[in-house]
Amino acid sequence: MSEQTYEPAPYGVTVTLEPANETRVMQVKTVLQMLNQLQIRPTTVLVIRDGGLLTPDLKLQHGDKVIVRTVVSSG
Amino acid sequence: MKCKRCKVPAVVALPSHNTGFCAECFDLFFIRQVERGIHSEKLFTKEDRILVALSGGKDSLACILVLKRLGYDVTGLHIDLSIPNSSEFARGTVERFCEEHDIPLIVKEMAKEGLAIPDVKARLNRPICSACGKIKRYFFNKVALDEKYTVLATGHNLDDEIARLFSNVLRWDVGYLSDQGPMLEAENGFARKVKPLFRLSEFETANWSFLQGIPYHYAPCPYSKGASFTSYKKLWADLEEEMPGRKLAFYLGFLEKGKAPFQRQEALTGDTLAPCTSCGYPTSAEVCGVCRIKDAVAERK
Ligand SMILES: [Zn+2]
Ligand SMILES: [Zn+2]
Repeated sequence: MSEQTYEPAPYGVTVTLEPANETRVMQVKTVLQMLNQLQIRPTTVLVIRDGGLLTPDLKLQHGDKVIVRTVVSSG
Repeated sequence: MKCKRCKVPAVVALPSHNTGFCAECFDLFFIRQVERGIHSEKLFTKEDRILVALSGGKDSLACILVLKRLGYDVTGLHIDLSIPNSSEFARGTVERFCEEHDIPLIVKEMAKEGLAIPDVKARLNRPICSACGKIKRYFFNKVALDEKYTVLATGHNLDDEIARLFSNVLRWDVGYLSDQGPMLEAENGFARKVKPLFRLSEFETANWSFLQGIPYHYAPCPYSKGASFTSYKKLWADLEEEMPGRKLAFYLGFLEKGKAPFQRQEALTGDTLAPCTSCGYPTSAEVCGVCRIKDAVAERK
């Protein structure tokens, strides 16, 4: 697609880690691959895209914005 | 991944149950686990008046919401610790949540009790967390008894319970092992205490809270440097990954086989409690811990 030429965002999936609120761009094809690269266990985080939850087997695409939110309570 | 029940795409994967669910079926799963826990451990009935301790975190809010949806008689209790830049957010979250879900709420302000946490901290020579925990437990119990609630509920989940059980086992602490569990019966001066979410992991509770639209409130206490049980939780996460379902099996096994012997031993060798001479709260000393803290704070002013 020609519009992509004008997109300033780097190629990949934009991942925001909560609660730290750190953002990084990753070249990953699935949720599980992303979590493995982040060295995060699937049952310790919620993975959220467009306000919905993702299971580890789901595919990710260029341009996706994903939130990885830790579920471990501090108390 | 497909939902185990209805075969539409799953939104929650649960390795410990070797399954996945869509939003609707996960809701059903979650609610059934809570009901099963309530019934199997005889936590309470529809006749009970239940006071639910609400910190503002997702677990306590999930706890009161699921009980309300199941038709139980619930009231929230929030302890306002009067910590600047922290307590007002927690309190605001709780107040908005209860208003939105039409849940009655009691707020107890520690500043009015002479126990604002910053004053307590200034007076103590040891970490504030144990004193703060003591103060919260004291007022949970006091409000429950004063206002004639029959049950006091907290939002502790399976991971909280496992971390605590494991720490008690490592120390073979007979006193704590004798009264750990999802229900502590009422006895002289104590309300009945229950943990309706004990069968559900932190992960399951977080997923349910998200799907219910429970506000994500992340406000670690400014005074606490990391949670006490964090390293045990990590250890158990490793074990659970190797052996899915191990957490729940370990906990249920303790309830079934481990708890009673510790209770028998504690009955023989444990401290006997008597009412605090100042406030009447059960204590093994003459004056209870909270009255002593209160006196120390008042002395300074
Ligand atoms: Zn389903
Ligand atoms: Zn007292």
